[in-house]
Amino acid sequence: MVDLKIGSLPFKDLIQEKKLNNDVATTNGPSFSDTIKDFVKDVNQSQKEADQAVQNFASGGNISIHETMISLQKADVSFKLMLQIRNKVLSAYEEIMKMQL
Amino acid sequence: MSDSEIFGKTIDVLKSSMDMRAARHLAISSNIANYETPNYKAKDLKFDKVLADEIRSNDAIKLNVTNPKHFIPSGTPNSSTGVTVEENNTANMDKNNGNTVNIDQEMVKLAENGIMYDALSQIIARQFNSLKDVIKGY
Amino acid sequence: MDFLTALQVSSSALDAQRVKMNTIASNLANAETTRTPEGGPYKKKTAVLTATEINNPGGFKNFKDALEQSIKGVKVSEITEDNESYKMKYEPGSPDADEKGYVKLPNINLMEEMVNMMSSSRAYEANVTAINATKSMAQKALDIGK
Repeated sequence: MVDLKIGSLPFKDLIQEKKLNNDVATTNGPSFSDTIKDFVKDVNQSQKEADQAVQNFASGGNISIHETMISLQKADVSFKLMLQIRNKVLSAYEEIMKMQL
Repeated sequence: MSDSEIFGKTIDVLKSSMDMRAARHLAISSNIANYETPNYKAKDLKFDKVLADEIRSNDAIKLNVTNPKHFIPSGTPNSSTGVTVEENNTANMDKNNGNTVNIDQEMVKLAENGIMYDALSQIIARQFNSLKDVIKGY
Repeated sequence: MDFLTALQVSSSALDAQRVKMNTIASNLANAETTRTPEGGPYKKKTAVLTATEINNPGGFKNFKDALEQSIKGVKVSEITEDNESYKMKYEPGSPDADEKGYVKLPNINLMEEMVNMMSSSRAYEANVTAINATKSMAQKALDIGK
C-alpha cells in the first residue's frame, strides 16, 4: 500500500499553479472593487455638481433653467444606476453564498 | 464610468443646442424690443457650424467667446469655432431712422426658435426617461 | 439667468411703448388746443426712443459674452416738444386770432399721429408675444425633469 500523504501528491503543484494564475489575473487591470469605487466617486461628483447648480440657480446666478434640470437628471440617473449595480452585486453575492452550502 | 460614458455625446450636443437657442431668444427679444429705436441694428446668432463641429468631434467643444463684428449677412466670421453675433446693416426701405429690424421676420424667428427649444427639451426628457427605464427594467 | 434677462428686455419695451402711446394720445387730444397754462398753443410732443444697457447682475456665461454687448433694452430718453412749427389757420373771428386774423395751431398731423399709434400698438403686441414665448420656453425647460 502506498502511503497516501497529501503533501506528496501531485495535487500540490497543481494548486500552486492555480494560485499563480490568480495573481496574474488580478494584476492585469483594475479590479472590480476599484471600478466600483471610481464609479461611486463619479456619482458623488455629479451629486455635488447638481447641488451646486441648484444653489446657483436659486440665488439668481448665471445658470439657465435647462442646465439646472439637466444636471439634476444626470445626478438622478447615475445614482439610480449605482443603486441597481449594488442590488445586482448583492443578489449575486447571495446566490454564491447559497451555492457553497 | 464617468458622466460622459454613461450619457454619451448626444446629451452634450442637445444641451449645447439648448444653450444657443436660449441665447438666440435673447437676441430676438432685443430686436423686437428695439423695433422702433433709431439707428438700432438687428442682431442674430449663427451657430450651425459650431454644432456641426461638436457632433463630428470626439469631445464636446468648449464654445469660444468671439467679439461682435460688424459685417453684412453674407460675410464670414472671424473665428472658425465660435458662436458669432451677426448684425444686419442693410437698412429697411420703409423706415428712414437707421433701424434695421424687420418685425415680421423677427416674429417668425421667435416662433421657430421657440419650437426648436421646446422640441430639444422634450427630446432630452425622453433620453433621460429611457435611460431610467433601462436601469429599472433590467 | 437667460429668461429673466429676456423678460427685462421685453418689459422695458412695453414701458417705452406705453409712454409713447401716452404722448400720441396727448397730441391727438390737443390737436386744436390754442391755449395752455404756459401761454401759446399746445406744443406737439415726440417720444425719443433709445437703446439701453440691461442690468444683469448674474452676468452672461462664457460664449454669451459676445452677446452681452449686443442685447439692448429700450427706453424713452426724452419727450421733446416742438417749439418751432405751427399751423396757421385763417380764422379772423376767433378770440385767439392775431392782428392778421390767423390762429396759431399746434403742428399736429392727425394721419401721422394715427400711423404712429398703430405702429406703437403693433410693437406693444409684438413684445407681449415675445414675453409669452419666453414664459413658454421656461416652462418647457422645466419639463425636462418630468
